Amino acid sequence: MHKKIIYMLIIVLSFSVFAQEQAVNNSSTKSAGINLPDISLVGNMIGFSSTDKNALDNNTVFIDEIELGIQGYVAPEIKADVFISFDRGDGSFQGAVEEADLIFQRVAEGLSLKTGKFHLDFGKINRVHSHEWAYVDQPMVLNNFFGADGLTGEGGNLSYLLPLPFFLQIDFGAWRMLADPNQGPDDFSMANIVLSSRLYTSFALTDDSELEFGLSVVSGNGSHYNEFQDDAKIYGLDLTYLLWPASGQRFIFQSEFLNLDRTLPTGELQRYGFYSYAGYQPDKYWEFGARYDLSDNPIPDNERKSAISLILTDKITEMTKLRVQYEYNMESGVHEVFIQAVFGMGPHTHPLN
Amino acid sequence: MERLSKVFTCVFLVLFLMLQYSFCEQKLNIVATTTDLADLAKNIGGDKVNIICLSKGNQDLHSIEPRPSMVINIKNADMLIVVGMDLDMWAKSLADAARNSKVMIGSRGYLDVSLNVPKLDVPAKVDASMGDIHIYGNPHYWISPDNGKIILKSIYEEMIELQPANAEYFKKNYDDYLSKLDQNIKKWKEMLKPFAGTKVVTYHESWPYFAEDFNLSVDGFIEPKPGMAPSPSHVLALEEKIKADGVKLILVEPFYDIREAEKIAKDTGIKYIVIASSVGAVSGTGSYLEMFDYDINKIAEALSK
Repeated sequence: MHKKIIYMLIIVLSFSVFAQEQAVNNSSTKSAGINLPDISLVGNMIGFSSTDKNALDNNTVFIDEIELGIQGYVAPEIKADVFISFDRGDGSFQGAVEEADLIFQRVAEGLSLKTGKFHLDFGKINRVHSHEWAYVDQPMVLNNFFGADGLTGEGGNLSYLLPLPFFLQIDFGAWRMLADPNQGPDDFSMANIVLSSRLYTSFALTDDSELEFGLSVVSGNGSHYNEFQDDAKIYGLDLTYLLWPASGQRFIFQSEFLNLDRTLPTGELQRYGFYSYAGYQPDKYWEFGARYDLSDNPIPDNERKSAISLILTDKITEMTKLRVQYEYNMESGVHEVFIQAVFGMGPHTHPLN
Repeated sequence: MERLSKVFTCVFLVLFLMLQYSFCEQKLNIVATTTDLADLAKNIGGDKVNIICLSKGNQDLHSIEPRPSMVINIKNADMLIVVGMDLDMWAKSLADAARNSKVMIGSRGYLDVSLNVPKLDVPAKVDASMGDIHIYGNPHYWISPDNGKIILKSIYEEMIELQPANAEYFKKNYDDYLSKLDQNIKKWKEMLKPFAGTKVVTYHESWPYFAEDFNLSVDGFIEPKPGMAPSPSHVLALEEKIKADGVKLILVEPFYDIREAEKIAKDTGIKYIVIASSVGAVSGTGSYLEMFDYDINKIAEALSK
C-alpha cells in the first residue's frame, strides 16, 4: 500500500517538475504556473533530551514528519489542498493523508464550504500544521484533550463571514473522527460523529496592533465510546494580541483556555487547561518566546500538570528555521531540551489563521 | 388619525432617503496592497473612488502579516490592486478569506499591475540556494517612474472598465497625471545625468529598475542572497569589492538594518543614504512623485559632495 502511494507520488512529482521547468523557461510571465499545482515539501527534524531516563525518544535525533503538499485551484473559486504526511508510527515511517480538502470559496455571499479530511477550526493552534508553530511541541492541554494529532476529522465545514463593518466569522462543521487504535486507557480524543462550531472576531486596535478573539466548541463521543460510552464536549476560548512596533518586529501574546466535559459510567468529569505564549521578534530572523502550560488529565484519576518553556527560533528563510526549546515540568521536576530543524521547499500556503 | 399621518410621513421620508441613496453615485471601492499603487489609483480616481491601502510605506512588503481586520476591507472592495510577482502573496489569503467574487483571482476586479511591465532578473532556474528569489523576476518594478506610467495605464483601464460612467473624469485625471509624471521624469533624468554609470551598493535587490531608468550601476548587495542576513565574511568581501570597484554610494531602505550600511560606509569611506522604496517610507515622501523627488535629490546631493 505504502509502495503504491510512493510510486504515485513519484509519477505526479515527475510530471509536475517537468511542467514547472517548462513554465519557468517560458518568457511569458502571464502563463507561468497556469494549471500547475503548488508542490511543496516540509521536513521537521527534532533532537530531544530529558532528565527523565524513561522518556520516549530520550537523547535521540529523529525525523518527526515529512509533509508533502499539493495545492491549487480545480475550478474558478474552488481550491483543493492535499497534504500527505510521513511520520514515525511505531518506529517505522508511515504515510497517511493528513489533510485532503476541497474548498468552495464562495457558496453564497460571505459563505464558503470546505469538505474532506482536515484539522478542525477550533482555537488558534489546532488548524496550524506543527511546522508552523512557534514552539516544538503541542501545548499540553491540546495534547490531553485532542490527542497527539489534534482534532482532525472527515466531514465538512461551513464558514460565514458576517456582513458587518468588522471581522466576525462563524463556522459550523460535522465530522467523523477515528480514535487512534494505539491509544491507551489514559489517552483521550474525540471520536465517531462530532459537531463543531466557532465564532471568531478580530479588531485592528491601531494601525500596528490587532486583537483576535474566538470561541469554539466540539461535541460528540469520546475515543473510548465502545468500552465506556463516553460522551464529551470541549469548549475553547482563545485570545491573541499582536503588535508590530516596526517593520520586521512583532510581539505576540496568545492564550487558549479549554474546558472538557466528559460523561463516563462512573460520572461526569470536568477538566480544564490552558496555555499562554508570548513571543518577541526583534527582526525578521529571530524570535524569543516563552510558554506556560497547565492542564488536567481527561481521566477520572486527575493529575494536574504544568510546565514552562523558553524558546529561541532562528528563521533562516520563510520556510526554514532552527529552534531550541527548554521545558521545565513543574510537578515532576523534569528538564527537557528540544532542538528542531524545519526545512521547506516549494510554494506552501495555509489559509489565514 | 394624526398619529397615522405621522407614521406615514416617517415611512415616506425613509423610503425617499433610501431611494435617493440608491440613485446616488456609488464610489468605486479600491483596495491596494501598497502605498504606491494607492497613490497612483487616487490620482486617477479622485473623488469618485474610496481607497484603502493594506500596508505602510515603511514596511518590508516581503514580510507583511495578513490580519483578519484587513479581510473586511477586501470584502467591500470592487477592485483589488496588487504588485504581483509573488511579492504581496499575503493578499491572496486575504482575498480568499473575504469571499468577495468581485476581487478573487481571475475576476474582473483583481488587478495585478505587473502583467504589462517588462521584467528584470527573471531567473532561468530557481531554488532556495539563490535565497528568497522570485520566480517571475525582480518584483520591485514600481521603483521606476518609467514603469509608473505602465502601472498608471493598467489602473486607468481597469477603472474605466469597472465604472464606464466616469470614463471621461478618469481620462482627464489620467492625462493630467501622466503629463505631470513625464515632466518630472525629464527633470529627474537631467538631475542624475552627471552621475551616469556611477556604481552603487544596495541593501536588498530592490533597485534594478530604478538603476536602469537613471543609468546607475548596482555593484553589490549588503544581503549575501535576497532575504538572507548579512554574514561578517560577506560584509568583509563586499567592503573589498566597494574599494576595488570604486563604488560611490550605499542605498538603504528604512526598514533594513541601517547600522550595517553605516558600518560598511565607515569602513570604506563612502556615503550611505536612507531612501524611500515606497510612498510614505520616510518623511517627505507622501506621494509617488514626492518619493522620486526625495530619492533623486538625496542621491544627487550625496554624489555631488
